[in-house]
Amino acid sequence: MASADVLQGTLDLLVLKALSLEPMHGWGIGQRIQQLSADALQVGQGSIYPALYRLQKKGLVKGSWRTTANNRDAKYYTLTAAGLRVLQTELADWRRFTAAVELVIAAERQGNQ
Amino acid sequence: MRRLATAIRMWLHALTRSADADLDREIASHLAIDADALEARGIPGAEAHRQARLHFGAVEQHKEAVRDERGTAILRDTASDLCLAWRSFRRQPVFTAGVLLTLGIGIGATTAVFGWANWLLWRPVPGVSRPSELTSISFVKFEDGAMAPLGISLPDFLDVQRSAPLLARSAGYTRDEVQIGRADAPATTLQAELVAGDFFGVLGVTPALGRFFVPADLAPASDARLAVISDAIWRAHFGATPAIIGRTVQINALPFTIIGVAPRAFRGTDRTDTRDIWLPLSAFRALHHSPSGGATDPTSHIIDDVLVRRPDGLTPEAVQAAVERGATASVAGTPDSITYREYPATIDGIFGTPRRGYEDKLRIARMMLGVVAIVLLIACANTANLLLLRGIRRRGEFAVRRALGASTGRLVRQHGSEALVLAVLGAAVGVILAVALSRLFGHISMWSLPAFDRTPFDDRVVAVAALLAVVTSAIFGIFPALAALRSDPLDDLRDAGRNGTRRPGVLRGSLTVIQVAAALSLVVGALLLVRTVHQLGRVELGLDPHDVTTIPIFTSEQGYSPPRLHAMRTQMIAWMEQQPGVIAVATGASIQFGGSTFEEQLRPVGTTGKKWPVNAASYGVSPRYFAAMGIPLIAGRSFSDLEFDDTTSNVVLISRTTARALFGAANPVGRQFEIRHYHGVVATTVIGVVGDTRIYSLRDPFEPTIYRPSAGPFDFGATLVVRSTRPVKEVARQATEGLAQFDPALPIGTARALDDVVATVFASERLFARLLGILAAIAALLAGIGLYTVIACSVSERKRELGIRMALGALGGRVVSLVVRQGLLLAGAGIIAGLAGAFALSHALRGLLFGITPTDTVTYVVAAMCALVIALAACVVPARSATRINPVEALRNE
Repeated sequence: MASADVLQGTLDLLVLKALSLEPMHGWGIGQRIQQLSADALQVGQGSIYPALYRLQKKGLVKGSWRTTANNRDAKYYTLTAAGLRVLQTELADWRRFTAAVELVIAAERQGNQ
Repeated sequence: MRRLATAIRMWLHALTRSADADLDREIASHLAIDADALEARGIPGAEAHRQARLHFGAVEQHKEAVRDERGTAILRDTASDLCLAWRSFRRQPVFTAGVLLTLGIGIGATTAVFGWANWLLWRPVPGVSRPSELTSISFVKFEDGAMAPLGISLPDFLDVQRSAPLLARSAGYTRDEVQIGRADAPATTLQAELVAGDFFGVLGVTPALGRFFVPADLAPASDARLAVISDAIWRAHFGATPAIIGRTVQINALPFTIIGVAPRAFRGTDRTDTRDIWLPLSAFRALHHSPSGGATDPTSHIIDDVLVRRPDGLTPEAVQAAVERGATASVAGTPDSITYREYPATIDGIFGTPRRGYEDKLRIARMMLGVVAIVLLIACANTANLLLLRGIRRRGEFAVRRALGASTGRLVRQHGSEALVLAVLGAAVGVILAVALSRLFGHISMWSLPAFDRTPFDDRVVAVAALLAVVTSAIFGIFPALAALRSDPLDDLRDAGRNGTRRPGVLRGSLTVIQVAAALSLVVGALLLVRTVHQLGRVELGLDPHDVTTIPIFTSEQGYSPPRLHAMRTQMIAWMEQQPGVIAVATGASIQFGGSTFEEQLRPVGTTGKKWPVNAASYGVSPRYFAAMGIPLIAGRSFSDLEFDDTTSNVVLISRTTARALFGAANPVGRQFEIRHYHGVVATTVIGVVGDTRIYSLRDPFEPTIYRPSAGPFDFGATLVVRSTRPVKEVARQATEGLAQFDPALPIGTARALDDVVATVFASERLFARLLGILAAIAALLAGIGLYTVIACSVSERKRELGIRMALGALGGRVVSLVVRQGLLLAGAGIIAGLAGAFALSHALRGLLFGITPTDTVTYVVAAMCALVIALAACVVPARSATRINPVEALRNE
């Protein structure tokens, strides 16, 4: 599980969540996800960008060029109001889903005993 | 071309460049930040950069993914796809030519036939506003399965119009021919529509000049002599002068005042012909110089077609029901009305569809659509085959591209755009061929459909062609890409450039079989029709049409009295008999194959009862008619000049069949029989017996026929029959000269060789035979091309196998037989399927066939032999090229 690739639909959720904490550039988003998941989730660095462009096209994030602390040019992404709304519903959905899956798995164990 | 392609590429590049630059900058920044992070962990600069790149993965692939998300990729890819397609077609001229020719022929034939059928069946009537709202109603009866038009009288029509509010916007019209007089030349025949009701208003036509009729002009009692002329006549006869309004012209020798000119676009209510002049229907009797029972006489003016502009939401059936109710009520109100109460009102189908006399052509048009669909099927199968082959040959190329990271969508798109380029080029070839083919059709159908070549194309036809091209090539262009995607690129790569021993696939094989089968069915159908026409041409006519010229002269339009008509006849006979080259001259009120025949009922003297046993065609002819027509005199004599001149003479010649029906085996000469007349029974004396002749149809047995010196009430004019050694033109000139001496105003009809007149009887069969012949030849050609490409490609695919065989000692003959056997197997399967298809097709043609059964063995064998010969021809070239394979080269590589 340590280096599992992130499913595409889930990647969008994770990117939104990461950006809800603070505006970040692409590299930072990948690092943040990895760090928050205690290295359990590793996002392929290149695959962040298609996700960012997808979210940008939907109007959920927007990007602008700024300078990093290390004096590098980088495109920083910010969550939009629409992005925040979507994130909240997606999170609720995700929780319902995982809870449901958990219930099913738990029930199976009881049945086997 | 190349410069244009480059320009387009540059433009698209500029369009997408700024977005790409931004992405490049972002990725560079990403890599730099990553490298910084790595360096911070103590990894040296160069190594840090290398690892950052590794982390990121395939830069181009990620960029491509971003572009896909962004959507601009499609534009740029399309441009490069089109360039790629163009380049690959130029590299494979044979493939490209094959596809373009096949698509072109398929689309060309379909478009030409569709254009013809559209012209005949569906094209909106020009110059009429919103024709889909119009419903045309006529009164017909069905007799022996044939439709006979009846009509409704003008007073009854007006009752019908008043009977329901939904019929408020309705009109009636009848088609007719009239003659317009000219100052110093014979009158000219014009095609007229005699109109009632709000004719132009219902059609939504407004005058280009002057005015149209007002209701008072068209009332039954009106004796308004007013005329509206077409734009064409206004230009041709009156020099397009605006001063035409108010001018008086002679129409059927009566003065009419021109009140308006129709707009150029409007040419009458029938989509296939042109009308020149519109007159009030109330003038019908006057125009025909026949006495009228007055405005209330229901027989005075008969309307052939009632035209209704439907109010919103009403169906044609509702209109039909309303017309029928109104007509029934009107007839009930006038007991002596002879309106045809027992016959229902009938919807005439789409407004503007030609009806009378066109039924067989409409049927042929529909059948041709079916036939051309088969040709299109063959062309599609052929195109599919070629594209599939190409797809299979390019598996290696696609495997490489997939391995290098091209996405699924990208590959399908490239295939799709190649198909699109093919489709566009194919459609262009198709339109060119369609123009050529419809010219050819125009020539073929000369007398059957004189106006065909006028407007064979409209937007709809071009749209259909384009649609066909795109659909066909899109389906079969993308199919191989999808097939390639399902396979493992590694296998394909291993195979690439080293074609194995693969046999033609099942799909390709069955496509070829379908082509051969469809083509064979068409060839059988065409052969059956060609033999039908041949048989019809050999039917015994009972008369000799060679060297006979027929010239109709219409006198009733000029108001000729019976004595004046007779004077014209005798003078013309006398004049023509003095002309050089003339062998015999006669006149007939109507003649064999002339179109109209009059029937009379006969019975032997002494028979009583209601039933008259013999129905005979009746001809009023001059004494030397039998010599002129080449009808043999079997017994007795022909009329004398005296009997011809005497209107009271009661003598008759009868055909052999009539004699047998009336008198059995006894000698009829000198005996009498009775003819039923409107006003009683007339006894008449037989003075001679002549041979049987065909009257019109070549398919029916001989019918009873009688000949009398005068046609009595049917004497509307005379057709001049001249047997002469001179050509038709010369005879026509002689007759024109003679007629001008008798009456300079009397127009002469079109002179035609009797041979040609007889030929028009089976013109429909001949037309269909020729059209089907052309399409069958096209189908055979396409099937031949299809078979050739399949075999040729299979030979090149099997190069390695054949090379091994030759290296192991197989001789040329063995290789040839291998290739030919493969071709013949496909052809054989196609022939068997095709014979079954032909069986079905020929049964559909049954009604048209004559003198040959739909299952004629000889025809089927000949067609199958043709297919076999074509198949062999298609195999010869690939087989020869197979024997020239150099085993060493084939084995080393290709």
